Order: sequence, then structure tokens, then C-alpha cells
Amino acid sequence: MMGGKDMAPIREWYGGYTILYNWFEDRYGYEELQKYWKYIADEIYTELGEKFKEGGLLYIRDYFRDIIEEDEGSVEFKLSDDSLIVDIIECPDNKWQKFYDAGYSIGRENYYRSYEVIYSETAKKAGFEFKVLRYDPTGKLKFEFSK
Amino acid sequence: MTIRDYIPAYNKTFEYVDTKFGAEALKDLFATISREYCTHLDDCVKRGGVKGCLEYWGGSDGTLSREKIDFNAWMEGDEFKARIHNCTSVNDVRNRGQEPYVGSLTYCDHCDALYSPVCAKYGIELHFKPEYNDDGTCAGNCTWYAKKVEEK
Repeated sequence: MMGGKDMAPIREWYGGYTILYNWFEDRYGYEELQKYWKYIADEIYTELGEKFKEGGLLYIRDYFRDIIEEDEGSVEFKLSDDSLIVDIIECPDNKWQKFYDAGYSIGRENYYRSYEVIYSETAKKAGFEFKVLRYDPTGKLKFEFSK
Repeated sequence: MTIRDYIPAYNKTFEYVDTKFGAEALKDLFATISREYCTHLDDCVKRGGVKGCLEYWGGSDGTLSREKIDFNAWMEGDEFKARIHNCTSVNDVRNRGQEPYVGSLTYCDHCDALYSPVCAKYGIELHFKPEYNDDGTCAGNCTWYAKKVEEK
């Protein structure tokens, strides 16, 4: 069963995340949405946390460069011996949610809190501290991983 | 979250909702996704009837080609038929060390739950028939059809 061909992700799925997040918040409230993000961090990002730990700040920089640039977003970095600042200039989530919007896609004000919860948990698994330096509801986030 | 994590996250979301909030909640989530996300299928079926299914799933610009899924889709008379071989969505889940969720509903149930209500709005019966192994795990193959409901 393992080793089959991978599915090609399609960019409409950024809007799919919006539907999931809104559903949790509308039915069960924002606290439950945060619990859901934490669950996703545990279930989906434990392996990534191990890679962050193994590869350190350089690996984390490359990871964010990959996931943002492969969907035509834009990001800048400031790397020092004990800290990495990730400065998202254009977030692919926002870009493709707007592109494919059919009335449901655009994330709410707190959509990007998903980054805060999920990467904060992932950083914790890797032994890093995580801090949001700038929150922006269109995804122009700035955050820092530090030792 | 990157869309490279969407399918494994989808699978885990279904597990989370079913386990924590129950089957009715998961059905409600499926219904919400169907209503909000499946607008492209809705457009195709509204415009083309049963043949709209072929436009949506089939062809080089259809959803399944863009997702790089191994499939056949065709019209047989007035009926739309399709088959997925070695489902890449299921592979995506398994390649991340997960198993497609099986609970009161299964991961595979989401296709029928998402797409059938869209077609039903236009008097079209659409159903997915995923294949399961003897132990209840997904076999990775699936067929589905769409046809106009006979008016009595």
C-alpha cells in the first residue's frame, strides 16, 4: 500500500482550510478551534518537529522558503547564530484564497492564528522558542524561532 | 498550513471530529464542505446536467487530472461513469504513515457526502462505491456513477 504515487495538491485547498477552521469556530467556538490546531500539530507536524530539531535554524529557513515559494508567495529571512526571523511578504494562503474565492475562501481575522498555534507547537517539539512579531489578517506574518 | 499537508490533515480532521463530536458532527462537516467548496461541480452540473460530471472530473483540465489521479471517466449512454485506480488521495495519507480513517464513517465516505448532494439538487443521482479489503481498510479503488433520476 505504501509508496504509491502522491496526489498533486491543488491551490483551491487553501480555501478548504478556511472552511474547516470556520466550521470549528462556528459550531464549537474559538477555543475548540485552537484545540483542533494543536491536535493537527501533534498528528501532522511531529515529524517536522524532529526535522527542525535535527536540522536547526537553517532547516527551518529552508522549510519556510520551500512552502511559501512553491506556491508563489514571498518571504525574507534574518538568520543569526541563535535566531531565525521569518518575514512573510506575501502569503500563499491569502493569494490563492483570493484567486479562487467562491464566497467561502477568504480566511477570517484569526485564520493565521493557525500558524501561531501549529508552529509554536512544532517549535516546542524541536526545543525552540517561537514568537509572533507581527500578526496580520492577510498573512503578512513575521515570527521568530530562537534557541 | 501548506496544501502539501491538506490530505493527511483532512484524514486526521475526520478522525478528530468523529471521535470527539460524533458521526452527526462529521456529517455536518461534510455537508458544509459540500455546500461551500463544491461550487465548481455545481456550476458544471447546472450547465451540463449529467455530462457536467464529465466536465468536472474528466478531461485534461478536470479536477482528477490536476490532482494527478489515475482514473477513467466516460459517458455510457446518458450515464456518467468513472473509476479511480490506486487512489492517490489514499496513497497520500498512507505515505504520511497514516491509514485512511475508518470509524462510524470512513475517509472514503467524504466523496459521496460532498458530491452527491450537489447533483441531487439537479435531479441527478450520483454515488461513489469505494472498494474495501476484507479487514475494512481501503483497497484504493473506487467507482462512481451519475444518472438522471427517472421521473414517475
